[in-house]
Amino acid sequence: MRVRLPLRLAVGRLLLDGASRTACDVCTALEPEYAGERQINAANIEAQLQALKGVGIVIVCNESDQGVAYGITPDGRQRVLRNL
Amino acid sequence: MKGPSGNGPKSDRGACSTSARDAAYVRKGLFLAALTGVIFSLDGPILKQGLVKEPFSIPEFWLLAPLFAAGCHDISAACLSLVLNVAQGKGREVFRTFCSKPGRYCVMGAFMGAPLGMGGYLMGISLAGPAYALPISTLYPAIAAVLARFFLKERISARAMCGLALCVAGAFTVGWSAPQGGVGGQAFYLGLGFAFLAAFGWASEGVCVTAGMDFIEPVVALNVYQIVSSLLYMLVIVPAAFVLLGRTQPGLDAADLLAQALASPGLPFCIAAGLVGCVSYRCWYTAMNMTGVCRAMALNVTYALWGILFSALFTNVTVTRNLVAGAVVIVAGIVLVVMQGKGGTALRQTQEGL
Repeated sequence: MRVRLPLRLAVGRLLLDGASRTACDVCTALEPEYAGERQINAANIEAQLQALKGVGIVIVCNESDQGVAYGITPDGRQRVLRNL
Repeated sequence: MKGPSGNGPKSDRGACSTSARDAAYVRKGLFLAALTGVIFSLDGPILKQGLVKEPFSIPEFWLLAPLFAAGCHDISAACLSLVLNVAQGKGREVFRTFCSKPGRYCVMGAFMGAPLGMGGYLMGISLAGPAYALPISTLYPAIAAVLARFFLKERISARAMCGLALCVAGAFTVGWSAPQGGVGGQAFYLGLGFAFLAAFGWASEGVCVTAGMDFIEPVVALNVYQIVSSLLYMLVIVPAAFVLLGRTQPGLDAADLLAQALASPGLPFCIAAGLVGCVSYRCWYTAMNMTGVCRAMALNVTYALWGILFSALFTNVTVTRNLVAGAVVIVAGIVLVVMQGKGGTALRQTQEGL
């Protein structure tokens, strides 16, 4: 049985491709992997992204009516890779 | 979803709203850190109510009783945490965290906090007396700030550092009481060493779990910490204290003593303290993740002030000059810690932030 990553780390791993994403984008991308879990919702994912931003793993790339888009920082990339 | 080429610069309006959201995020963290000081101040007095009941109050059990009580405290806190996490749909996250790399930091934090922190604290009080051990143990935020600066590369402004120093000095003043009798001797200095070890244990616990919380939610990290700490108490620390007690008091019936402890009227107080401690720790861990180790610990250490203030309000403890002086110094420290300077929302020094 493959153990899934903790959600916050999974958000970081998702952003490793270099694309910036809003909380809704992240939610949609992670939904199949964490299907049926109540923690997969836009508000909780936004909170995870805000926490990742606070410790310098992601930055705000764009802000629009669709929401805030976050992208990974070079330092964040290294830290995510170290923890996978 | 946008590709990297779509990452244009933020508009002024966007930047303003982002900074407002960041400021609100940090304010929430500071509020939680302040709240943890208030709630945690109730933890000690409740635990103490349990420790004055038999068999915990018997002098021969000076070491076993507080360790057993601390174990019960952590077990009830771990159970409440798990119930809350399951209710919030985060039960599986606890298991996942145990199997993940950042989860190891939380486990390491438990090894630092339980045996070094609590063990050192109890040994310090026993060998050097509370007059010396208590103030020394309140130095943990200062040690944590140094560790966080080096290991987490946490940004600590000069103002926050001054505030932290004032909070620690205030807590030291509030906790200080004139020592009774003479000092000196090998055991006394060993006790001072244990008190410093406790401060180091709690400081390194905070830094370890904060490192883990970069990738783990604070309430989940706390649950992992509590489970490991409970297992340490149940399987290592309390049995070791039983063995030590058996050596110093031959003929002692360990099974009978355990039965007495489990049937003690003090046990519900230990469990209640664990529930209060769980709420306080949830606030504290979230605060450390949101505002950084330095600021969260500076506000957490104010429990020393709140504890005595509540005692003065609800019991017959008198307000001394030490208490007033310590309170003034702590409030000044809090003001400096809470005031946000430029860059107050970025916690770490990263390549981008430099």
